[in-house]
Amino acid sequence: MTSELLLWMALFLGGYSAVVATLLGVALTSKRRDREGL
Amino acid sequence: MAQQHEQWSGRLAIVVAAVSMAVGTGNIWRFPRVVAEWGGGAFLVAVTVGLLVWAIPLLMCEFLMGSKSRLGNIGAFRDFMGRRYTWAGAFMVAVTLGIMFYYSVVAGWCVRYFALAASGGLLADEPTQGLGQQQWDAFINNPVETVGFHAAAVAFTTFVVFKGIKGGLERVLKLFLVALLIILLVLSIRAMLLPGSAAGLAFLFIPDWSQLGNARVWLEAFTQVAWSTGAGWGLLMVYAVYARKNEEIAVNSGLVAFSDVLVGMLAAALVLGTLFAVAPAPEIAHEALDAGHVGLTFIYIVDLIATTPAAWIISPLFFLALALAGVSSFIAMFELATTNLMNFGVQRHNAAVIIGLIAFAFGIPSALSIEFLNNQDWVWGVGLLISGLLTALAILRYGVERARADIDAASDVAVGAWFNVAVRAIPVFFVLLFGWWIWQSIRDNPDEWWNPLSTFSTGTLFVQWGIVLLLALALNNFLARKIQAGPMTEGDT
Repeated sequence: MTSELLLWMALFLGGYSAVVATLLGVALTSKRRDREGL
Repeated sequence: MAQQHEQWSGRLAIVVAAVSMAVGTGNIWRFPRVVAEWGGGAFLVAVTVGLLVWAIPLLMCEFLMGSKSRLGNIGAFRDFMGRRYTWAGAFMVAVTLGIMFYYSVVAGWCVRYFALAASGGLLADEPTQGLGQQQWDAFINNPVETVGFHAAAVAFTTFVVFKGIKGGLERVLKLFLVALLIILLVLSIRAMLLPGSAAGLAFLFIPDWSQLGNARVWLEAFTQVAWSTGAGWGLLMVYAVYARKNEEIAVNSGLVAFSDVLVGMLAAALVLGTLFAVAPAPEIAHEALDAGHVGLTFIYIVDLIATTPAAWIISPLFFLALALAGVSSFIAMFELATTNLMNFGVQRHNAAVIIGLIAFAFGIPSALSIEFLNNQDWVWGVGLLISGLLTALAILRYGVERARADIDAASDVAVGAWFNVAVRAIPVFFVLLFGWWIWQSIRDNPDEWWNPLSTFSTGTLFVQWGIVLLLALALNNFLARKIQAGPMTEGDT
């Protein structure tokens, strides 16, 4: 694999994974969790 | 007032259900083909824009309509738009039913191929280009098998929906999604490590920026987003009916949309990486990508995987992933039909059995004729764009600012003015997307575009939509009266 391909793979797969992980993190640590249970 | 006792056990449960609704067979057999054809990374950028201006706002609108009205689509439209517009909810239900009636057949194909692969029926001792075609012809021309697997998919789903939200859907969808993600992760990592896979991965990830200047790429990306995320289908609206009071909306909707595309990327890495690694020549891989959903999945992939090392496990896992994705999306459509029927006062158990019988009967033509199935896929697939438009119009009539305030009040993050702009822009995007599809169908069928009996004509779209629309309009007052009242129904809306 070329370094160009690795870079774009990291950007797209990593970027989307980071967004999903962040949103999941927000959901899991939400104050709503304490109030209503996740 | 409608009695609403059933509920998802928590936030994670509704997110899992919504992601499994969005992730369907299209993520595995459509996404890899369009992303490779329309600019790889550049297409992914266009898809990301599509998520932000079409899918996520629409998913939020659906979530709000379901959780606030506590009614299925027909009742939700009645309570958000007013009684005169109950027909809009009925039209949305009809479009999703149109898809449900053939989707069980497709889910049945996936189950059958999983069974065949697991029993060693898709293995070959030497490179072959005939096995896939041979297997497909033998299957599709055998009505006992096509109807039998359709019946099996309907029977299983009837059982799941019969058992209810917590006891049925929640248990099964959690299991299916976890299994699907593990399989896709394992197979895609393996595909990426295969010698020669880089050529396929380059089509997926390396951007061809010149494509962003091509209007067609944007139309393809927005169409992909509209079909893949489930935005505008009305399915999330129904899942939200069973959400806890004040369930979070904004972050949950974003999670569904971004997860759907992430799963699509994994599936594309699996399909494109494998194709280019195992195809004897790059031209064969391109042929496979040009062969349509059925050609790619059930013919080329069968042929190409048959002789690869570890095919005995790769092949069943691939078709198991396809079956899990297909059945979990079918469950969402079935639940939509069941919930709407329950709003007429029918108990869940009875409603599930009635919908099961209807789904089986109306799916038979698609099980017997692939031409018929293709026609239905065309008619109701494009019809989904209309459902998306109707959802946006419902929120525009309810008040975008009011909807945003409701969403903000129920969300971990403030959605901002972007939501107002996006919802107001959806009718514009609809005109562009819809106009393009109609123009394309006329261009591709210059002699037959008007003929309602031609499979992919413009005429068949308008005739079938027209019949459904007339029926929905004729039944408007009846439906508005007969659907039970929800928390928003007080007074005449």
